[in-house]
Amino acid sequence: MLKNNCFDVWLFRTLLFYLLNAHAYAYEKQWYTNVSADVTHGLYKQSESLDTGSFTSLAIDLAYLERFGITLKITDAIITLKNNQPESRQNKFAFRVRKKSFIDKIYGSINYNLIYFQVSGKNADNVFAIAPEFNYLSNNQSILISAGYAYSEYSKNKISQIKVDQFNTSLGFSPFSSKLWINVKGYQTKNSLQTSNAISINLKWWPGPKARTLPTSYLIGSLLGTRRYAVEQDILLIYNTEDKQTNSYFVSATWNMMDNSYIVFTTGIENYISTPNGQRYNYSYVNFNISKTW
Amino acid sequence: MKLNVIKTAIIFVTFGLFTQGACADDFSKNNANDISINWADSFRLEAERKYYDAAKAIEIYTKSSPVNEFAIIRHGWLNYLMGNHNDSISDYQLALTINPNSLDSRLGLILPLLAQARWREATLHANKVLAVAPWQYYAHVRLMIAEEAQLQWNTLEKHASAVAERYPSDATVQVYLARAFASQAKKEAAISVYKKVLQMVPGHIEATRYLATAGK
Repeated sequence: MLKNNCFDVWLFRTLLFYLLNAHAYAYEKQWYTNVSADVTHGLYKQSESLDTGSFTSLAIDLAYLERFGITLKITDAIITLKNNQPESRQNKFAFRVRKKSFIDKIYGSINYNLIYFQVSGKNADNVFAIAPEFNYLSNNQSILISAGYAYSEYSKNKISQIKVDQFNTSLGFSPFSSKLWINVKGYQTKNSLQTSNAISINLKWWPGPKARTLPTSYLIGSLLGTRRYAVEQDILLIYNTEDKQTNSYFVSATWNMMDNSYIVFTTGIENYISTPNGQRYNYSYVNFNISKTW
Repeated sequence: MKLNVIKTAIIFVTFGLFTQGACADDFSKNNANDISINWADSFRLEAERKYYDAAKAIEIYTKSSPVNEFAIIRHGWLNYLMGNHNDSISDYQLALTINPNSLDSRLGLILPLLAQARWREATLHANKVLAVAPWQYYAHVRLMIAEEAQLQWNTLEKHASAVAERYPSDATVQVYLARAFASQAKKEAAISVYKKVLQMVPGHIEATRYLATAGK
Protein backbone atom coordinates (compact mmCIF):
# COMPACT_ATOMS: atom_id res chain seq x y z
CA MET A 1 0.00 0.00 0.00
CA LEU A 2 2.79 2.33 1.02
CA LYS A 3 4.67 1.34 -2.10
CA ASN A 4 1.63 2.13 -4.24
CA ASN A 5 1.23 5.52 -2.57
CA CYS A 6 4.88 6.30 -3.17
CA PHE A 7 4.47 5.33 -6.79
CA ASP A 8 1.34 7.49 -7.13
CA VAL A 9 3.14 10.47 -5.63
CA TRP A 10 6.11 9.89 -7.90
CA LEU A 11 3.84 9.57 -10.96
CA PHE A 12 1.87 12.66 -10.00
CA ARG A 13 5.05 14.67 -9.45
CA THR A 14 6.53 13.47 -12.71
CA LEU A 15 3.41 14.35 -14.68
CA LEU A 16 3.12 17.72 -12.93
CA PHE A 17 6.78 18.46 -13.62
CA TYR A 18 6.30 17.48 -17.25
CA LEU A 19 3.16 19.60 -17.65
CA LEU A 20 4.72 22.61 -15.95
CA ASN A 21 7.84 22.34 -18.03
CA ALA A 22 6.28 21.25 -21.31
CA HIS A 23 5.76 24.81 -22.49
CA ALA A 24 9.27 25.80 -21.42
CA TYR A 25 10.80 23.17 -23.68
CA ALA A 26 8.17 23.41 -26.42
CA TYR A 27 10.62 25.24 -28.67
CA GLU A 28 12.85 22.18 -28.64
CA LYS A 29 10.07 19.80 -29.62
CA GLN A 30 11.52 17.00 -31.69
CA TRP A 31 9.22 14.05 -30.99
CA TYR A 32 5.64 13.97 -32.21
CA THR A 33 2.96 11.56 -31.06
CA ASN A 34 -0.14 10.75 -33.06
CA VAL A 35 -2.97 8.78 -31.50
CA SER A 36 -5.74 7.47 -33.70
CA ALA A 37 -8.85 5.59 -32.56
CA ASP A 38 -11.03 3.82 -35.07
CA VAL A 39 -14.37 2.02 -34.88
CA THR A 40 -16.02 0.12 -37.74
CA HIS A 41 -19.31 -1.68 -37.63
CA GLY A 42 -20.96 -3.44 -40.52
CA LEU A 43 -23.43 -6.05 -41.66
CA TYR A 44 -22.82 -8.98 -43.97
CA LYS A 45 -25.65 -9.28 -46.44
CA GLN A 46 -26.48 -12.37 -48.53
CA SER A 47 -23.89 -14.37 -46.66
CA GLU A 48 -24.87 -17.82 -45.49
CA SER A 49 -22.61 -17.78 -42.47
CA LEU A 50 -21.39 -14.24 -41.65
CA ASP A 51 -23.66 -11.87 -39.75
CA THR A 52 -21.87 -8.74 -38.42
CA GLY A 53 -18.32 -7.45 -38.30
CA SER A 54 -17.03 -4.97 -35.72
CA PHE A 55 -13.49 -3.68 -35.65
CA THR A 56 -12.04 -1.41 -32.97
CA SER A 57 -8.50 -0.22 -33.27
CA LEU A 58 -6.02 2.06 -31.62
CA ALA A 59 -2.87 3.29 -33.34
CA ILE A 60 -0.01 5.17 -31.78
CA ASP A 61 2.64 6.75 -33.92
CA LEU A 62 5.84 8.18 -32.54
CA ALA A 63 7.89 10.29 -34.95
CA TYR A 64 11.22 12.02 -34.64
CA LEU A 65 10.71 15.19 -36.68
CA GLU A 66 10.30 14.08 -40.31
CA ARG A 67 13.22 11.67 -40.15
CA PHE A 68 11.94 8.41 -38.72
CA GLY A 69 9.09 6.93 -36.74
CA ILE A 70 7.39 3.85 -35.39
CA THR A 71 3.71 2.94 -35.37
CA LEU A 72 1.86 0.38 -33.35
CA LYS A 73 -1.72 -0.56 -34.21
CA ILE A 74 -3.88 -2.98 -32.30
CA THR A 75 -7.26 -4.07 -33.63
CA ASP A 76 -9.91 -6.11 -31.93
CA ALA A 77 -12.17 -7.76 -34.51
CA ILE A 78 -15.42 -9.52 -33.68
CA ILE A 79 -17.25 -11.36 -36.44
CA THR A 80 -20.57 -12.85 -35.44
CA LEU A 81 -21.96 -15.78 -37.36
CA LYS A 82 -25.44 -16.84 -38.29
CA ASN A 83 -27.28 -19.97 -37.10
CA ASN A 84 -26.01 -19.57 -33.52
CA GLN A 85 -22.48 -20.41 -34.52
CA PRO A 86 -19.77 -19.15 -32.11
CA GLU A 87 -18.31 -15.74 -32.97
CA SER A 88 -14.84 -15.33 -34.33
CA ARG A 89 -12.66 -12.99 -32.28
CA GLN A 90 -9.34 -11.82 -33.66
CA ASN A 91 -6.52 -9.72 -32.33
CA LYS A 92 -4.69 -7.94 -35.09
CA PHE A 93 -1.33 -6.40 -34.41
CA ALA A 94 0.69 -4.22 -36.75
CA PHE A 95 4.08 -2.66 -36.15
CA ARG A 96 5.78 -0.33 -38.60
CA VAL A 97 9.21 1.29 -38.64
CA ARG A 98 9.92 3.99 -41.16
CA LYS A 99 12.76 6.19 -42.22
CA LYS A 100 12.84 9.11 -44.57
CA SER A 101 15.72 10.22 -46.78
CA PHE A 102 15.76 13.54 -48.55
CA ILE A 103 17.36 13.41 -51.97
CA ASP A 104 17.91 16.65 -53.89
CA LYS A 105 18.66 14.96 -57.23
CA ILE A 106 15.15 13.56 -57.42
CA TYR A 107 13.58 16.68 -55.88
CA GLY A 108 11.89 14.77 -53.10
CA SER A 109 12.10 12.24 -50.34
CA ILE A 110 12.10 8.47 -50.14
CA ASN A 111 10.21 6.92 -47.27
CA TYR A 112 11.20 3.36 -46.34
CA ASN A 113 8.65 1.32 -44.40
CA LEU A 114 8.86 -2.12 -42.91
CA ILE A 115 5.64 -3.52 -41.46
CA TYR A 116 5.00 -6.61 -39.43
CA PHE A 117 1.47 -7.98 -39.04
CA GLN A 118 0.22 -10.68 -36.76
CA VAL A 119 -3.31 -12.00 -36.34
CA SER A 120 -4.42 -14.52 -33.80
CA GLY A 121 -7.63 -15.38 -32.03
CA LYS A 122 -10.53 -17.64 -31.35
CA ASN A 123 -11.94 -19.46 -34.40
CA ALA A 124 -9.55 -17.63 -36.68
CA ASP A 125 -6.49 -18.33 -38.78
CA ASN A 126 -3.13 -17.50 -37.33
CA VAL A 127 -1.52 -15.05 -39.69
CA PHE A 128 1.75 -13.30 -39.92
CA ALA A 129 2.93 -10.99 -42.66
CA ILE A 130 5.95 -8.91 -43.37
CA ALA A 131 5.65 -6.04 -45.79
CA PRO A 132 8.47 -3.77 -46.95
CA GLU A 133 7.40 -0.71 -48.89
CA PHE A 134 9.01 2.44 -50.13
CA ASN A 135 7.56 5.55 -51.60
CA TYR A 136 8.74 8.70 -53.26
CA LEU A 137 7.14 12.06 -52.47
CA SER A 138 8.14 15.17 -54.38
CA ASN A 139 9.14 18.21 -52.32
CA ASN A 140 6.09 20.15 -53.51
CA GLN A 141 3.98 17.12 -52.50
CA SER A 142 2.33 16.82 -55.88
CA ILE A 143 3.58 13.32 -56.83
CA LEU A 144 3.69 10.14 -54.78
CA ILE A 145 5.01 6.87 -56.16
CA SER A 146 5.14 3.73 -54.10
CA ALA A 147 6.15 0.11 -54.48
CA GLY A 148 5.61 -2.61 -51.97
CA TYR A 149 5.74 -6.30 -51.33
CA ALA A 150 4.05 -8.41 -48.68
CA TYR A 151 4.67 -11.96 -47.68
CA SER A 152 1.89 -13.55 -45.62
CA GLU A 153 1.50 -16.95 -44.05
CA TYR A 154 -1.88 -18.32 -42.98
CA SER A 155 -2.15 -21.40 -40.83
CA LYS A 156 -5.24 -22.99 -39.31
CA ASN A 157 -3.14 -25.72 -37.80
CA LYS A 158 0.34 -27.03 -38.32
CA ILE A 159 -0.74 -29.08 -41.34
CA SER A 160 -2.50 -26.60 -43.63
CA GLN A 161 -0.60 -23.50 -44.48
CA ILE A 162 -1.06 -20.89 -47.20
CA LYS A 163 1.74 -18.65 -48.34
CA VAL A 164 0.81 -15.45 -50.15
CA ASP A 165 2.91 -12.99 -52.09
CA GLN A 166 1.60 -9.54 -52.83
CA PHE A 167 3.11 -6.97 -55.11
CA ASN A 168 1.65 -3.51 -55.18
CA THR A 169 2.51 -0.20 -56.74
CA SER A 170 0.80 3.15 -56.70
CA LEU A 171 0.85 6.58 -58.22
CA GLY A 172 -0.65 9.61 -56.53
CA PHE A 173 -0.76 13.04 -58.07
CA SER A 174 -2.38 16.44 -57.96
CA PRO A 175 -3.69 16.94 -61.51
CA PHE A 176 -4.98 20.50 -61.62
CA SER A 177 -4.45 22.18 -58.33
CA SER A 178 -3.69 21.43 -54.72
CA LYS A 179 -7.44 20.91 -54.22
CA LEU A 180 -7.48 17.50 -55.86
CA TRP A 181 -5.52 14.32 -55.26
CA ILE A 182 -5.85 11.13 -57.30
CA ASN A 183 -4.27 7.88 -56.21
CA VAL A 184 -4.18 4.76 -58.36
CA LYS A 185 -2.87 1.54 -56.83
CA GLY A 186 -2.40 -1.85 -58.41
CA TYR A 187 -2.30 -5.13 -56.49
CA GLN A 188 -1.30 -8.63 -57.42
CA THR A 189 -1.78 -11.30 -54.81
CA LYS A 190 -0.82 -14.88 -55.50
CA ASN A 191 -0.51 -18.16 -53.71
CA SER A 192 0.18 -21.64 -54.96
CA LEU A 193 -3.40 -22.03 -56.20
CA GLN A 194 -4.33 -18.74 -57.79
CA THR A 195 -3.36 -15.20 -58.72
CA SER A 196 -5.67 -12.22 -58.42
CA ASN A 197 -5.31 -8.67 -59.65
CA ALA A 198 -7.02 -5.51 -58.51
CA ILE A 199 -6.76 -1.80 -58.92
CA SER A 200 -7.94 0.85 -56.50
CA ILE A 201 -8.71 4.41 -57.52
CA ASN A 202 -9.13 7.07 -54.85
CA LEU A 203 -10.01 10.69 -55.38
CA LYS A 204 -9.61 13.24 -52.61
CA TRP A 205 -11.04 16.72 -52.87
CA TRP A 206 -10.55 19.76 -50.67
CA PRO A 207 -13.44 22.06 -51.59
CA GLY A 208 -12.01 25.07 -49.76
CA PRO A 209 -13.45 26.67 -46.66
CA LYS A 210 -17.18 27.33 -47.07
CA ALA A 211 -18.41 26.97 -43.51
CA ARG A 212 -16.72 25.80 -40.33
CA THR A 213 -19.17 22.93 -39.87
CA LEU A 214 -18.58 21.46 -43.33
CA PRO A 215 -15.91 18.82 -43.97
CA THR A 216 -12.48 20.02 -45.02
CA SER A 217 -12.05 17.16 -47.47
CA TYR A 218 -13.92 14.32 -49.15
CA LEU A 219 -12.59 11.01 -50.38
CA ILE A 220 -14.21 8.66 -52.86
CA GLY A 221 -12.62 5.29 -53.43
CA SER A 222 -13.17 2.15 -55.40
CA LEU A 223 -11.53 -1.23 -55.83
CA LEU A 224 -11.91 -2.95 -59.15
CA GLY A 225 -10.93 -6.53 -59.90
CA THR A 226 -10.37 -9.18 -57.26
CA ARG A 227 -7.90 -9.65 -54.47
CA ARG A 228 -7.46 -12.17 -51.72
CA TYR A 229 -5.39 -12.02 -48.54
CA ALA A 230 -4.47 -8.43 -49.34
CA VAL A 231 -2.25 -6.21 -47.24
CA GLU A 232 -2.68 -2.43 -47.10
CA GLN A 233 0.66 -1.03 -45.96
CA ASP A 234 -0.38 2.61 -45.68
CA ILE A 235 -3.31 2.02 -43.31
CA LEU A 236 -1.76 -1.01 -41.59
CA LEU A 237 -4.59 -3.33 -42.51
CA ILE A 238 -4.59 -6.98 -43.42
CA TYR A 239 -7.62 -8.53 -45.12
CA ASN A 240 -7.21 -11.93 -43.59
CA THR A 241 -10.21 -13.61 -45.16
CA GLU A 242 -10.05 -16.53 -47.52
CA ASP A 243 -12.93 -15.08 -49.54
CA LYS A 244 -12.16 -13.04 -52.62
CA GLN A 245 -12.76 -9.32 -52.34
CA THR A 246 -14.15 -7.86 -55.52
CA ASN A 247 -15.52 -4.50 -56.67
CA SER A 248 -15.83 -2.31 -53.56
CA TYR A 249 -16.64 1.35 -52.95
CA PHE A 250 -16.46 3.88 -50.14
CA VAL A 251 -16.91 7.58 -49.43
CA SER A 252 -15.49 9.52 -46.52
CA ALA A 253 -15.54 13.02 -45.12
CA THR A 254 -12.85 14.59 -42.95
CA TRP A 255 -13.23 17.44 -40.51
CA ASN A 256 -10.16 19.32 -39.35
CA MET A 257 -11.47 20.02 -35.86
CA MET A 258 -8.54 21.92 -34.42
CA ASP A 259 -4.92 22.09 -35.45
CA ASN A 260 -3.64 18.53 -35.84
CA SER A 261 -6.99 16.97 -34.90
CA TYR A 262 -9.16 15.16 -37.40
CA ILE A 263 -12.45 13.33 -37.44
CA VAL A 264 -13.27 11.06 -40.36
CA PHE A 265 -16.58 9.39 -41.20
CA THR A 266 -16.52 6.66 -43.81
CA THR A 267 -19.18 4.44 -45.25
CA GLY A 268 -18.75 1.80 -47.86
CA ILE A 269 -19.58 -1.55 -49.29
CA GLU A 270 -17.17 -4.41 -49.90
CA ASN A 271 -18.25 -7.25 -52.17
CA TYR A 272 -16.94 -10.76 -51.67
CA ILE A 273 -17.07 -14.11 -53.37
CA SER A 274 -17.15 -16.96 -50.91
CA THR A 275 -14.29 -19.39 -51.49
CA PRO A 276 -16.03 -22.69 -50.71
CA ASN A 277 -19.16 -22.19 -52.84
CA GLY A 278 -18.71 -19.09 -54.99
CA GLN A 279 -21.63 -17.37 -53.30
CA ARG A 280 -21.58 -13.58 -53.51
CA TYR A 281 -22.16 -11.46 -50.42
CA ASN A 282 -21.28 -7.99 -49.27
CA TYR A 283 -20.20 -6.14 -46.16
CA SER A 284 -21.77 -2.68 -45.66
CA TYR A 285 -20.08 -0.65 -42.98
CA VAL A 286 -19.71 2.68 -41.29
CA ASN A 287 -16.43 3.82 -39.82
CA PHE A 288 -15.54 6.57 -37.39
CA ASN A 289 -11.98 7.70 -36.83
CA ILE A 290 -10.57 10.38 -34.57
CA SER A 291 -6.90 11.34 -34.47
CA LYS A 292 -4.71 13.93 -32.86
CA THR A 293 -1.06 14.79 -33.06
CA TRP A 294 0.89 16.25 -30.18
CA MET B 1 89.13 37.52 -41.79
CA LYS B 2 86.86 37.23 -38.83
CA LEU B 3 85.63 40.78 -39.45
CA ASN B 4 84.84 39.96 -43.09
CA VAL B 5 82.82 36.99 -42.05
CA ILE B 6 80.87 39.09 -39.56
CA LYS B 7 80.34 41.85 -42.20
CA THR B 8 79.13 39.31 -44.72
CA ALA B 9 76.81 37.78 -42.17
CA ILE B 10 75.39 41.21 -41.24
CA ILE B 11 74.83 42.10 -44.92
CA PHE B 12 73.26 38.74 -45.60
CA VAL B 13 70.95 38.92 -42.60
CA THR B 14 70.02 42.56 -43.28
CA PHE B 15 69.35 41.80 -46.96
CA GLY B 16 67.42 38.76 -45.91
CA LEU B 17 65.31 40.76 -43.50
CA PHE B 18 64.61 43.44 -46.12
CA THR B 19 63.75 41.00 -48.83
CA GLN B 20 61.63 38.95 -46.40
CA GLY B 21 59.78 42.13 -45.36
CA ALA B 22 59.28 43.10 -49.00
CA CYS B 23 57.99 39.62 -49.86
CA ALA B 24 55.65 39.56 -46.87
CA ASP B 25 54.39 42.98 -47.82
CA ASP B 26 53.82 41.92 -51.45
CA PHE B 27 52.18 38.71 -50.32
CA SER B 28 49.79 40.45 -47.98
CA LYS B 29 48.92 42.95 -50.73
CA ASN B 30 48.30 40.17 -53.21
CA ASN B 31 46.33 38.16 -50.68
CA ALA B 32 44.14 41.14 -49.86
CA ASN B 33 43.59 41.72 -53.57
CA ASP B 34 42.83 38.06 -54.11
CA ILE B 35 40.39 38.09 -51.23
CA SER B 36 38.46 41.09 -52.49
CA ILE B 37 38.56 39.72 -56.06
CA ASN B 38 37.22 36.36 -54.91
CA TRP B 39 34.43 37.84 -52.85
CA ALA B 40 33.54 40.48 -55.43
CA ASP B 41 33.45 37.75 -58.07
CA SER B 42 31.25 35.62 -55.87
CA PHE B 43 28.75 38.43 -55.31
CA ARG B 44 28.79 39.39 -59.01
CA LEU B 45 28.26 35.77 -60.08
CA GLU B 46 25.40 35.40 -57.60
CA ALA B 47 23.77 38.51 -59.08
CA GLU B 48 24.15 36.86 -62.51
CA ARG B 49 22.51 33.72 -61.06
CA LYS B 50 25.68 31.73 -61.61
CA TYR B 51 25.41 30.18 -58.19
CA TYR B 52 27.80 27.30 -58.83
CA ASP B 53 30.59 29.66 -59.92
CA ALA B 54 29.76 32.03 -57.08
CA ALA B 55 30.21 29.17 -54.62
CA LYS B 56 33.39 27.98 -56.36
CA ALA B 57 34.93 31.46 -56.04
CA ILE B 58 34.84 31.33 -52.25
CA GLU B 59 35.28 27.59 -51.77
CA ILE B 60 38.90 27.95 -50.61
CA TYR B 61 37.74 29.99 -47.63
CA THR B 62 35.26 27.34 -46.53
CA LYS B 63 38.18 24.97 -45.94
CA SER B 64 40.67 27.53 -44.63
CA SER B 65 42.25 27.49 -41.22
CA PRO B 66 41.26 29.25 -38.99
CA VAL B 67 37.70 28.59 -40.08
CA ASN B 68 35.89 31.31 -41.99
CA GLU B 69 32.37 31.32 -40.57
CA PHE B 70 31.07 33.82 -43.10
CA ALA B 71 32.35 31.74 -46.04
CA ILE B 72 30.57 28.66 -44.71
CA ILE B 73 27.29 30.55 -44.19
CA ARG B 74 27.54 32.06 -47.66
CA HIS B 75 28.34 28.65 -49.16
CA GLY B 76 25.19 27.32 -47.45
CA TRP B 77 23.15 30.14 -48.96
CA LEU B 78 24.52 29.51 -52.46
CA ASN B 79 23.89 25.77 -52.11
CA TYR B 80 20.32 26.60 -51.14
CA LEU B 81 19.94 28.78 -54.24
CA MET B 82 21.28 25.90 -56.38
CA GLY B 83 18.74 23.52 -54.90
CA ASN B 84 21.47 21.50 -53.15
CA HIS B 85 19.42 21.44 -49.99
CA ASN B 86 21.28 18.64 -48.23
CA ASP B 87 24.63 20.40 -48.83
CA SER B 88 23.10 23.67 -47.71
CA ILE B 89 21.89 22.01 -44.49
CA SER B 90 25.38 20.56 -43.91
CA ASP B 91 26.97 24.00 -44.41
CA TYR B 92 24.60 25.71 -42.01
CA GLN B 93 25.01 22.93 -39.46
CA LEU B 94 28.79 23.26 -39.74
CA ALA B 95 28.44 27.01 -39.19
CA LEU B 96 26.32 26.27 -36.11
CA THR B 97 28.96 23.97 -34.67
CA ILE B 98 31.50 26.76 -35.10
CA ASN B 99 29.17 29.32 -33.52
CA PRO B 100 26.14 27.80 -31.81
CA ASN B 101 24.80 31.28 -30.98
CA SER B 102 24.57 32.31 -34.64
CA LEU B 103 21.05 33.36 -35.48
CA ASP B 104 22.18 33.92 -39.09
CA SER B 105 23.08 30.27 -39.50
CA ARG B 106 19.93 29.01 -37.84
CA LEU B 107 17.72 31.29 -39.96
CA GLY B 108 19.62 30.10 -43.02
CA LEU B 109 19.16 26.47 -42.03
CA ILE B 110 15.38 26.91 -41.99
CA LEU B 111 15.33 27.70 -45.73
CA PRO B 112 16.51 24.33 -47.13
CA LEU B 113 14.41 22.56 -44.51
CA LEU B 114 11.33 24.36 -45.80
CA ALA B 115 12.34 23.57 -49.37
CA GLN B 116 12.44 19.86 -48.48
CA ALA B 117 9.04 20.10 -46.77
CA ARG B 118 10.60 19.30 -43.39
CA TRP B 119 8.06 21.45 -41.57
CA ARG B 120 8.69 20.08 -38.09
CA GLU B 121 12.42 20.52 -38.32
CA ALA B 122 11.98 24.05 -39.68
CA THR B 123 9.60 24.76 -36.79
CA LEU B 124 12.19 23.50 -34.32
CA HIS B 125 14.88 25.88 -35.59
CA ALA B 126 12.53 28.87 -35.98
CA ASN B 127 11.45 28.37 -32.37
CA LYS B 128 15.09 28.18 -31.27
CA VAL B 129 15.69 31.58 -32.86
CA LEU B 130 12.55 33.00 -31.29
CA ALA B 131 13.59 31.68 -27.88
CA VAL B 132 16.49 34.17 -27.87
CA ALA B 133 15.10 36.83 -30.25
CA PRO B 134 11.33 36.80 -29.63
CA TRP B 135 10.30 39.17 -32.45
CA GLN B 136 12.84 38.20 -35.09
CA TYR B 137 10.92 38.88 -38.29
CA TYR B 138 12.35 36.18 -40.56
CA ALA B 139 11.97 33.49 -37.90
CA HIS B 140 8.30 34.41 -37.58
CA VAL B 141 7.67 34.44 -41.33
CA ARG B 142 9.45 31.10 -41.82
CA LEU B 143 7.54 29.61 -38.91
CA MET B 144 4.30 30.84 -40.50
CA ILE B 145 5.23 29.05 -43.73
CA ALA B 146 5.62 25.80 -41.77
CA GLU B 147 2.33 26.34 -39.93
CA GLU B 148 0.48 27.00 -43.17
CA ALA B 149 1.94 23.88 -44.79
CA GLN B 150 0.81 21.78 -41.82
CA LEU B 151 -2.71 23.30 -42.06
CA GLN B 152 -2.40 24.65 -38.52
CA TRP B 153 -4.85 27.46 -39.20
CA ASN B 154 -5.75 28.21 -35.62
CA THR B 155 -2.09 28.44 -34.60
CA LEU B 156 -1.33 30.52 -37.69
CA GLU B 157 -4.18 32.92 -36.91
CA LYS B 158 -2.93 33.56 -33.37
CA HIS B 159 0.67 33.72 -34.51
CA ALA B 160 0.13 36.04 -37.50
CA SER B 161 -2.15 38.25 -35.41
CA ALA B 162 0.58 38.73 -32.77
CA VAL B 163 3.26 39.38 -35.40
CA ALA B 164 0.98 41.79 -37.31
CA GLU B 165 0.65 43.82 -34.12
CA ARG B 166 4.44 44.21 -34.05
CA TYR B 167 4.82 44.74 -37.81
CA PRO B 168 1.58 46.55 -38.72
CA SER B 169 2.84 47.83 -42.07
CA ASP B 170 4.10 44.46 -43.30
CA ALA B 171 1.96 42.97 -46.07
CA THR B 172 3.44 39.44 -45.85
CA VAL B 173 2.30 38.97 -42.27
CA GLN B 174 -1.14 40.36 -43.14
CA VAL B 175 -1.44 37.87 -46.00
CA TYR B 176 -0.73 34.96 -43.63
CA LEU B 177 -3.32 36.32 -41.21
CA ALA B 178 -5.86 36.63 -44.03
CA ARG B 179 -5.13 33.07 -45.20
CA ALA B 180 -5.63 31.76 -41.66
CA PHE B 181 -9.02 33.50 -41.45
CA ALA B 182 -10.05 32.40 -44.94
CA SER B 183 -9.09 28.77 -44.31
CA GLN B 184 -11.24 28.67 -41.19
CA ALA B 185 -14.20 30.14 -43.12
CA LYS B 186 -13.93 33.39 -41.12
CA LYS B 187 -14.94 35.32 -44.20
CA GLU B 188 -15.54 38.80 -42.76
CA ALA B 189 -12.22 38.80 -40.90
CA ALA B 190 -10.42 37.60 -44.04
CA ILE B 191 -12.06 40.34 -46.15
CA SER B 192 -11.02 42.99 -43.65
CA VAL B 193 -7.38 41.85 -43.64
CA TYR B 194 -7.19 41.41 -47.43
CA LYS B 195 -8.47 45.00 -47.77
CA LYS B 196 -5.53 46.11 -45.60
CA VAL B 197 -3.20 44.12 -47.87
CA LEU B 198 -4.54 46.01 -50.89
CA GLN B 199 -3.69 49.30 -49.20
CA MET B 200 -0.12 48.12 -48.61
CA VAL B 201 0.34 46.45 -51.99
CA PRO B 202 -2.17 47.90 -54.48
CA GLY B 203 -3.15 45.25 -56.99
CA HIS B 204 -2.02 42.36 -54.77
CA ILE B 205 -3.17 39.34 -56.77
CA GLU B 206 -4.25 37.04 -53.94
CA ALA B 207 -6.13 39.81 -52.09
CA THR B 208 -7.82 41.00 -55.28
CA ARG B 209 -8.92 37.45 -56.16
CA TYR B 210 -10.28 36.72 -52.70
CA LEU B 211 -12.24 39.97 -52.53
CA ALA B 212 -13.62 39.40 -56.03
CA THR B 213 -14.74 35.87 -55.08
CA ALA B 214 -16.25 37.16 -51.86
CA GLY B 215 -18.14 39.80 -53.82
CA LYS B 216 -16.40 42.73 -52.14
